Amino acid sequence: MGIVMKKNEWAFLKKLLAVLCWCVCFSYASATTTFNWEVGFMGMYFPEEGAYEQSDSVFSGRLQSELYHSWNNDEDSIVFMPTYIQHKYYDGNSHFDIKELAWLHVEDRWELTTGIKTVFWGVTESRHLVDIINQTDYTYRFDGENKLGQPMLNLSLMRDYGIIDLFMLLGSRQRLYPNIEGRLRGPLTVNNNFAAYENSSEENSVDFAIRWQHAIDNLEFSVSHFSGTSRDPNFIGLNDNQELMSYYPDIHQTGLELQYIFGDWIWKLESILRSGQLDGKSYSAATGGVEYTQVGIFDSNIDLGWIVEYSADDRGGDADHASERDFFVGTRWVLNDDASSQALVFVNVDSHTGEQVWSLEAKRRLERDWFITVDISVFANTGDAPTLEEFLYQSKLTDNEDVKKLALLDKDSYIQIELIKYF
Amino acid sequence: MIKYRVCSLVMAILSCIAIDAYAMTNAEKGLVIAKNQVAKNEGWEDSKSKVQMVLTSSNGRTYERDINIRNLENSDDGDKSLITFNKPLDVKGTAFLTYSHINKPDEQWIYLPAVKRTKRISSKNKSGPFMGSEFSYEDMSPFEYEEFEFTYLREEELNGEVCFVVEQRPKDRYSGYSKRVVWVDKSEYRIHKVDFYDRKNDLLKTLNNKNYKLYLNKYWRQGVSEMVNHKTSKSTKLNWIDYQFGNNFKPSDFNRHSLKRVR
Repeated sequence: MGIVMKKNEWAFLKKLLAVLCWCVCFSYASATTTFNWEVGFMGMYFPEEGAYEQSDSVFSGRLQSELYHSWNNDEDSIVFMPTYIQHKYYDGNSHFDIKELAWLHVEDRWELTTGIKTVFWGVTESRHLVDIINQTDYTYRFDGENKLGQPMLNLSLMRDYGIIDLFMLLGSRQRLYPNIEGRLRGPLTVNNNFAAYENSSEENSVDFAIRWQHAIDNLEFSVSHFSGTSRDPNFIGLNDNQELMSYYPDIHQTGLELQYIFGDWIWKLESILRSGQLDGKSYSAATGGVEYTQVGIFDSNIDLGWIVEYSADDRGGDADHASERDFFVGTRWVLNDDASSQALVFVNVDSHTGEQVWSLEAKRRLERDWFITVDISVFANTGDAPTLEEFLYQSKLTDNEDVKKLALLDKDSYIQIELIKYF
Repeated sequence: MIKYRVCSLVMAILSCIAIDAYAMTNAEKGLVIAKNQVAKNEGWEDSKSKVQMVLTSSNGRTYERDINIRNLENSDDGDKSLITFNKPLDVKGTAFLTYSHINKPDEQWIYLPAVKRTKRISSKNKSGPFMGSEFSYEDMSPFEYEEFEFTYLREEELNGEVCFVVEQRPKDRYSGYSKRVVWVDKSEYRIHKVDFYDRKNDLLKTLNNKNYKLYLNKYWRQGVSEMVNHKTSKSTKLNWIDYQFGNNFKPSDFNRHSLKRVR
């Protein structure tokens, strides 16, 4: 069993637990405690044979629980949310993570969170550019919505001019990559046991972030800044086992989020300016668009939402992701029925190379606290998956404008079904 | 002379009645009733209650939901409300914040705990069903008389109480209704029954409030609200459990930040 948690995190956890126990022991007034857990069973099927001799199907499972305790009229609370994921095609075959273990203290004009927590920033649907506090966990789902817990101190100040969040982030988490059997990867695997850092404290660096959010009538905006170890690694070469070695540079990122509500239209924009990621060059990227919702179409209870967004990155083809100049068109169906059924269908098209990702994400409640999600992704017009030799040749090119990055996923279209039981 | 006195007495009696019925148009009378309804309920400051929702489908199957509702009175603009979901378990932790406003559209946010995201919801959403129930979002939001035009219709006895029957027409074009007809009792201005008419002016739903109880010696709250949809014959019953007043809620308990931590 591969434990993702590092030594320094355990040390931090022990201290935190001691503080928490003390808090709980001295709390009598109006305490409430809840305990819940959930189990997920996941099946994934790839209709096409993998380009790099990977497996055609994956079965994985996860177990997650949440313990919540509050006292002092809810002015103090702790959340403890451990999660255990069993997955075949990541090193170690499983991992245990503490998604949350935090003590929250609330005052009238400020709040302090001490511990491990997940924080989300952002407004757009197709990309989460500004979001940077937590490392993304792709081991169970590829949608990028799962996060690894981040140890932090977070002070929130409520003021007339908005909410200011100050973060001290204690250490950073390494991103996990699939092993040789795993899908949605290139011809080379990434070494998960070792990573290099620009910061001399390596993964124990203390990083800082600040965010100011405010709303003026129908305009909501946030400005944020992050200084510290990047959550996105660069690859710096191969080791003797022909595995890619990752390197986490120190970066500065300034982010902007805008949201304007105009009747049934919501206009959205996210933009970042990041420096330090690669070769000392800075870059900017933006995602913007609109969401329009038709409530109760055809005289029914169904809400139909339309989402159109465009993503740009001023590095163009040199960007380390595939959404450099992409259109996103999606439609969300919310049935508003007993089962809370909903579905999102979307296509992402690269306006330069024509690569496409077609996706369906559907979910509904079943009997007695069972829930089902179905995800389908189809990679189209990506060109053929490159062989190792082609890939190595491509990675030496200086002009990447016409490179189809999604070619790596040419054979990786998939259907994924998860059954979840809540207790 | 005597004749004149009798005449003036008759006039005086008549004028008393007139305040009640004749001098005011039915529109004015409807507005006065609505204002009295609001005035009667002023000063409650905040409240908290647990609500059990029972959804009954047209074939008689039932589904249960558990929610907590917190309200904060705000006399300057509209009230604030925060609804948190406990059951079904897949939506546990989801929270719904509404700022109702008097002269502009309400503001609404939903917090989705699985992805830690707070999403703004467009104000047109108000006519949509709340958690798949027969209550729409606007049925769950507090009553502000500035948002309606009124017509007083008649007096009628209901549940052993003499009620004013008033037609309320929403001014907001995003409302799902052309009108609601409300039965408000004369003695305490409690709502006993509401008929909801859809945009085509057909009778869509009927709400019945029962088991009223008096809190803090001043504020009446219903124990049961039952909404029946006449078109689908589905119904939703809300059991209001454990009303609490004087919670010392602050505006800071009702913002986009507190949405993430409230249970």
